[in-house]
Amino acid sequence: MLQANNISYQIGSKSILRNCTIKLKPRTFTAIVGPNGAGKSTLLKAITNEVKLRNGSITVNGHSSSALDSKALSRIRAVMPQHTSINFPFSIEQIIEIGRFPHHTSPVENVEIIEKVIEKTRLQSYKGRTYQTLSGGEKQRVQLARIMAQVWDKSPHPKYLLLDEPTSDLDILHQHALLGTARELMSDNLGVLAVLHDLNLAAQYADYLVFMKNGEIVKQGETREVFTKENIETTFNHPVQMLEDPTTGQTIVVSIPNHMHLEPQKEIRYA
Amino acid sequence: MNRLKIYLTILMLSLACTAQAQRIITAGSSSTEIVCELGLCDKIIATDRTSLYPPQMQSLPSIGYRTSITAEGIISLEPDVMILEKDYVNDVVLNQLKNAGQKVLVVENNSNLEDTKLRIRQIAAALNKKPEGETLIQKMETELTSLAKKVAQANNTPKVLCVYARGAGNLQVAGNDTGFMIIEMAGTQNAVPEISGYKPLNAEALINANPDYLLFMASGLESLGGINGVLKIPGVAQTTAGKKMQIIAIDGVKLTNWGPRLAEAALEIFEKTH
Amino acid sequence: MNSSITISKLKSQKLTAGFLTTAMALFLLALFLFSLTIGAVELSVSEISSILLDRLGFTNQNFTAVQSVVLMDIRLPRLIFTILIGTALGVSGAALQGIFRNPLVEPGIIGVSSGAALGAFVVILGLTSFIGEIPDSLKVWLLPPFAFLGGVLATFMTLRLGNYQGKVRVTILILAGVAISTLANAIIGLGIYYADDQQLRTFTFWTLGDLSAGTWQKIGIITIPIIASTLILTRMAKSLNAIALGESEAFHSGVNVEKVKRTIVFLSALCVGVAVSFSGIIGFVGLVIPHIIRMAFSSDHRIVIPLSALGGAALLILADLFARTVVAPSELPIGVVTAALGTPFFIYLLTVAKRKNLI
Repeated sequence: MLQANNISYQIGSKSILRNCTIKLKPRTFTAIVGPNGAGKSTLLKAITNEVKLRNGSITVNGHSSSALDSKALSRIRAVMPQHTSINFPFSIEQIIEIGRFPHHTSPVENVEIIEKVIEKTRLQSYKGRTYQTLSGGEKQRVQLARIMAQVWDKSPHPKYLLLDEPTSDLDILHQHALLGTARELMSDNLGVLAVLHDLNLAAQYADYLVFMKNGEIVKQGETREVFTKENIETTFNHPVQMLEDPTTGQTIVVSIPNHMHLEPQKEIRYA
Repeated sequence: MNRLKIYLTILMLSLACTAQAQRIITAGSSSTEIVCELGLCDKIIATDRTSLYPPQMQSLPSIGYRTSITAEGIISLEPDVMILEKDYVNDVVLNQLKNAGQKVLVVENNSNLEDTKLRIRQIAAALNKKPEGETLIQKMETELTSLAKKVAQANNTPKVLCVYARGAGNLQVAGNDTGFMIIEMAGTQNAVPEISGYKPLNAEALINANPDYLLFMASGLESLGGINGVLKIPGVAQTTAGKKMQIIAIDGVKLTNWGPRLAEAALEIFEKTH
Repeated sequence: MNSSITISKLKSQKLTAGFLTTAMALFLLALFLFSLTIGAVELSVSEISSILLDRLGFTNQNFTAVQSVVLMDIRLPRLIFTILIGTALGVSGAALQGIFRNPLVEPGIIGVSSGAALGAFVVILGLTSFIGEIPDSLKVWLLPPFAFLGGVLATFMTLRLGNYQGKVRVTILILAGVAISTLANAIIGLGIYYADDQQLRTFTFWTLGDLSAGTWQKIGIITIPIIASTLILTRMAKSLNAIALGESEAFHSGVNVEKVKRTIVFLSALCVGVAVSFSGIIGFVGLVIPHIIRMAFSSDHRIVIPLSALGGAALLILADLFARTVVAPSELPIGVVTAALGTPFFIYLLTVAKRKNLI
C-alpha cells in the first residue's frame, strides 16, 4: 500500500495542502478530481516526494518513503508528469529506455520490454521518430510507454503508477486506450493513482474517487458511493445533473451552462 | 718562436672567423638596433614584431610578438645565435631552445642607461665585436655628455606628460618606471611622478598636473588625429601644453626602447622643449 | 515476439556506441600522427620513427640532435597537452549541457572559465603582489588548484542563483552566469589596474590561450584529473539521459539528481580549471563539439560524452595545427582561432534554437 498520512504543505505562509490522508491499494484505480487550483497535482507531487512536507508522512509498502533512495522508490512506483519537454533530439526508444534504468535486467530483456510497451501503446509506427517532433498527445503516449517499461517487471511487492492528468492532450480514442492500458497493468499487483479532469472518465475507470478543494480532501470513497450530484456540486460550485447511460447503465454527470439554470432560485456561490 | 706566433695568430683569426655568427635572430628592438650598429645588420635573418628599425627589419620573417614566440619557429630558421631581451620570450620556450642546443643570449632592458651599456657589451661579446661595442658606447657617451652640457645651461626643466596612445579611447599616461623616462636625460621632468607603469588618463588629474609639454609616440599622435585631435581630449586645452600647443611627438621605438639611439632621442626631446 | 530482430537491433545499438567511440579514437590517433609531422622544423615520418625507436633503446642515428629535441621536447608534449585540454573542454561542455538540459550552455557561459581565470589571476598577480615573486616551479603547482577553486565557486554560485525551488530556470541561469562572469572580470580588471607591465603581459596572453607552453611537467600535473574526470563523466551518461527529461522525471527514474548535478559541476569545473590554468581560456570547443556530435550521431549521452571528449581533442589539434602553421615561424593565439571558428557556428545555433523554441 502507498499511503499519505495527514500531510500538509505550504509555500511561505500560503497553505497549499492541508491534512490530506490517502491510501492507494494495489489492483485499485484511484482518481483525484477537483476544480482548478485545488491542489491535485501538488498532492501527487507530495506523495511522490517531490516537495518537502510541512508535516505528515508517506509510506510505501510499509516503509517510510524518506528512508528509501530514489533508485529503490523508482522500482516500486513510476510517475507520469503532466508535460515533459526535452531540449535534445532523443528518439522515442531512447526515451522509453530511461524507464529501464532503475532495473538490472539485461540489455536484451530491456529491448524486448521496450518493444512490448511500444506495441501496448500503439506506437509501432513512431519508432525512430524524434520526441520533439511529436504532438502533445503522442508525447503523452511515449511517456506512458516509458513508465510502463519502468513497472513492467514481475515482483513480489505491489507497485504503483501515478499519472498527472495523463489524458489532457489526448483524443477520446487515446484517452480510453491509455486508461484502459493502465487498468490492464493493475492485474500485476499494481495500483494506479491519476489526477483527472474529466469527471465521467474518472467515474468510468476509477474504483475509488478523491474529491479535492482548496488544498483539502473534501470527500473520498468507492466511486459508486461518492459519485453523486451533491459531492460534485459542492466540490466544483457548479450545478450538474446526473443521468444514466442507457447502454451501459452507468451514472454520468452533465454540467449545466450558466444561462440555462434549471433552478434559477438556487444561488450559486463561488469560493 | 715567431713562426709559432704567426700560426697561433692565424689559428685565432680563423677561430674568430668561424665563430662569427652568420645567422642571427633577435627579439626586442633595442637589441636589434645594437646588432645593426655593430655592423651585423645583414646577418639578422628574422626578428620580432617590435623591431621596426632599421626599416629593412620589417621585411624579415617575423617570429611573432613577445610571448607568442615559439621555439619550433625559431629552430626551423636554423640561427647560429639568438639575442632575446628578457620577458620577450616565455621561460618554457627559452628552455626548449636551450635544450635544442641553440645558442641563446638573454639580455636585460629595464629602461636605464646602465642596462643599455651592459646590453651592448654582452651582445658585442657574443658576436665577437667587442671593439665595435666599445666604440658604440663611446659614441653614445660623447653625445650624452654634450647633451648634458646643454641641459646644464638651460635654465628650466619643463614638465612633460608622456602619453601612450592607441586611438582616442585608449590613452595611458606613462609613469616612472617606463621607457618614456628618457625625458629625464633631456632636461625635462615627468609631470606625474607619482604614477608608476601605465595608467589611464584622467582629465582632472591632467589639469592638476598641468604639464608644459605633451609627449607622444609619433604613431600615437597619428592615431589621435594629430595635434588637433589631442586638443579635443578633455582637459588638454586647460593645460599649459594645450594653451601653447606644445604637443610633441617622437618615433616611438627610438623614444622608448633605450637602444643605441637613446642619445639621439633625448637630444630631440631637449630641442623640442627648450 | 520476433526476438531475433530485437537482439540484432540491440547489438547494432551497442555496436553504434562502441564503434563510434573506436572510430573517433582512431581518427584522433591519425590526426595526432599527422600533426606530429607538421611544423616549422622539417621532420619526416622516418625521422620521427627513428627518434622514437632511439628513445626506446633501438639505436639508429638517422636524425639530428635538434630534430630529436624538437620532437620530444616541443612537438610531442605540445600535442599531448593539446589532446588533454581538448578532451577536458569537450567532455565538460557535453556534461554541462546535459546537466543544465540546455544546448547553449558552455563553460564560458555559466562562469567556469571566468572563475578559473580569476583563480589563475590570483596566482599570477595577487600572490606575487602580496607575498613576492613566486618561482615558476611553484607557480606550475599553484595554478591548477586555484583555477579549479575559482571555477567551482563561480559555477556553484551561478547554479544557486539559477535555481528556484529546486528547478533550474535557464534564463535566470544564463543571466546569473553573465553576472558571475562580470563580477570575476571586474575583479580581474581592478587587479589589472595595479598590475605591472610584466604581470599584465603574462595575464593578457593567458586570456588568449596558449598551447605552446605545454611541457611534460604540466602534462604530468593535468593528466590524472582530466582523464579521471572524463571516465567518471562517461559513466554518468545514463543519468544524464534521464535528466534530459527533467529533474523530477529523472528522480522518478531512480536518479539521485542532486548528487549527479553536484558531481558533474564539480568534475567539469575540475577539468576546465586545470586545463585553463595552463592553456589559458580557449573558447567554444566546449560549446561546439557536443553539438556536432549530436547532429552527426545521436543525443544519447552514452555517445555524446565519450565522443565529445575525443572530438574536443581532435578539434583542438586541428585548430592548433592551423594556429602554428598559418603565420609560421610565428603563430596565432589558439583562443583567437577557436573563437573565430566557433563564433559563426554559435550564431548559427542561436538562430536554429530560436526557431525550435529552445530558449
